[in-house]
Amino acid sequence: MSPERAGLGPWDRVWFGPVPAVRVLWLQRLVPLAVALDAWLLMIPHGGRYGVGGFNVAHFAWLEALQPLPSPALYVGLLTLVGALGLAAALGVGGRASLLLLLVTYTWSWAMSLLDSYQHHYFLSLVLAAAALGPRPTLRDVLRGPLRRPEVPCVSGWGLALLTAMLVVLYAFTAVTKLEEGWRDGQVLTRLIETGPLAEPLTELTRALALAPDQLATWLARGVVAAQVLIAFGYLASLWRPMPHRLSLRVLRALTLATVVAFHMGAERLGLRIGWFSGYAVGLAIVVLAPPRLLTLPTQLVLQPPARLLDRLMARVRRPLRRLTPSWRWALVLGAAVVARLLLHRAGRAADLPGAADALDLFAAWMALVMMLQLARDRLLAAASAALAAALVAVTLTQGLERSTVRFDYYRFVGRDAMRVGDYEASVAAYERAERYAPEGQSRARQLERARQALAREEARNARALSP
Amino acid sequence: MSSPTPDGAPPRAGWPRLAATAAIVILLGLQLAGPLHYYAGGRDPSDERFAWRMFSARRAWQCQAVAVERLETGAARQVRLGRALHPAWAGALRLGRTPVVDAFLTDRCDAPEVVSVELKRKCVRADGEQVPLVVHARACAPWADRLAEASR
Repeated sequence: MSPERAGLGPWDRVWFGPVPAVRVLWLQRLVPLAVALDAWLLMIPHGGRYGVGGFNVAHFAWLEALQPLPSPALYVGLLTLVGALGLAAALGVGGRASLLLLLVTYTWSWAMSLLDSYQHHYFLSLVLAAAALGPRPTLRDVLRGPLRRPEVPCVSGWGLALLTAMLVVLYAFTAVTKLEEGWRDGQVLTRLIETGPLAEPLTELTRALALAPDQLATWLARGVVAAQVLIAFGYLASLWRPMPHRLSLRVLRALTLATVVAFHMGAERLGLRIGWFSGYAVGLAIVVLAPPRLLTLPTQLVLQPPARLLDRLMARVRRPLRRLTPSWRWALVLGAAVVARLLLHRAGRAADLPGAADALDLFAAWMALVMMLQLARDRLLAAASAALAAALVAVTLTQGLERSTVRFDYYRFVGRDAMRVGDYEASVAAYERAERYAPEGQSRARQLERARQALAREEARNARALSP
Repeated sequence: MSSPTPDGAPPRAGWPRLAATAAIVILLGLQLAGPLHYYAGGRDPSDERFAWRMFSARRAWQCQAVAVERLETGAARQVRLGRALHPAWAGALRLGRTPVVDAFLTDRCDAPEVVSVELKRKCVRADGEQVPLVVHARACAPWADRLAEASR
């Protein structure tokens, strides 16, 4: 349906006009996937500091009144659940409800404490909200036409339009911040550069160009403002619906995309501690600005062969499944739910992280509910895909923890923090755990020994104090 | 570009479209509320949350903080921030994050022997200019009142 035929005026056209379905699909599948990995790999290691000393301040006073004092088990458990829900949403299991649950749990994970004050975490909550809104195209909607010349079907992706508007606001206000004295004169950038890996090359460049020491930083700082204004303007222009086939607009989109990539890669080179923000920013720019065929092609290349294989497989099992009596169907789904629960429970226990087992039990309950609801709507295959998603979550978490330094980082941070506040017993326990997961060459044996000695001294002191 | 798929059609005119528009306005309003509140002066300048002030000049301040408690005996005792709090909270205190400062002062007042707490912050801007010393002070309520408050 064209926007005019759908009765859309100019305002409505901006929000509800057609956008390539592949953009919406990427937003709804890849953002949850990235959030899942971010939660498991980057956020969990810092979970040990939650509730230390019984001290906490939530982002909102009303939340503080509602929630218990955050603890490592609550925070790590919540993030384990975030990761599981993110994977389920990426697979399209649980529909919009999985996305909304992901939004709520993820938002709570940062809102529960000012310990997490990363602005991009707040922004990701808005991105997840935008992803949860509007039509939800399926893979089948996107994978149309031959590989060489795929079709570009469109949907009224108003969640994507909302995301684009949010990106305009984000970059515009970030640019406004940098109009203040301190940034404008290059002082802040100088501070950021002098502690990072670019310090030496930029000093050499300043010398080669025969500039005053602060001059290059001033230029670069103003260049950052210009880049952010250009990015905001480029996103604003991409809200034009329907997008006219004008060369100038295509050039602007390409220029905006290139600026986003260059700007965020530059930020990465500065060595700023901003987690995966650059990755998210570049990913969102690709989703919003890249030519749709460029998004469709990799989607087809990667997903069409397994999708066709799955379709063929499903076609074979569909008929025998239809012949099953309702009681057999329920028995099958209940069996799958039990197996999924066992797998998730095992993965939770093997995780050896506080709260992980409870979180995966909760996720298993959610998957069981999804299976039941799908079966009640006579969608046996959708119910089966929930069981598969549960198994995939169990395997991904187990393998992710095995192949990463998440547990090592978690326990060594706990050991270090406990040592600082003089809780030597906790420090010894944490360092012993960290040793179990230490990658080669990163042993914390020295720190463990120091904690043991401190504990021994403390015990001796206590014994002396108690002796008559 | 082909036309929208039936499932991906725009929300129907009337309530569905109104609800979708409301969702858009609410979420964009939420995103805009942070910076507008900040720049309108409704918020403490140290609290840059939700204002999209990434790498602001304010964030580049380098601050030191010292906390001193006055005890019932009249003696003064320095609080070792690195021991009393997780380093991340100590960092927030140094930057003068108001909710953290308030919670810290309340927390220290919980000790029965403490009658007042003072947190002094000294900051230097990115350009090296000294910011005037900031003192956050709290006179703790009498211990009997605190006990009564806790029992309520």
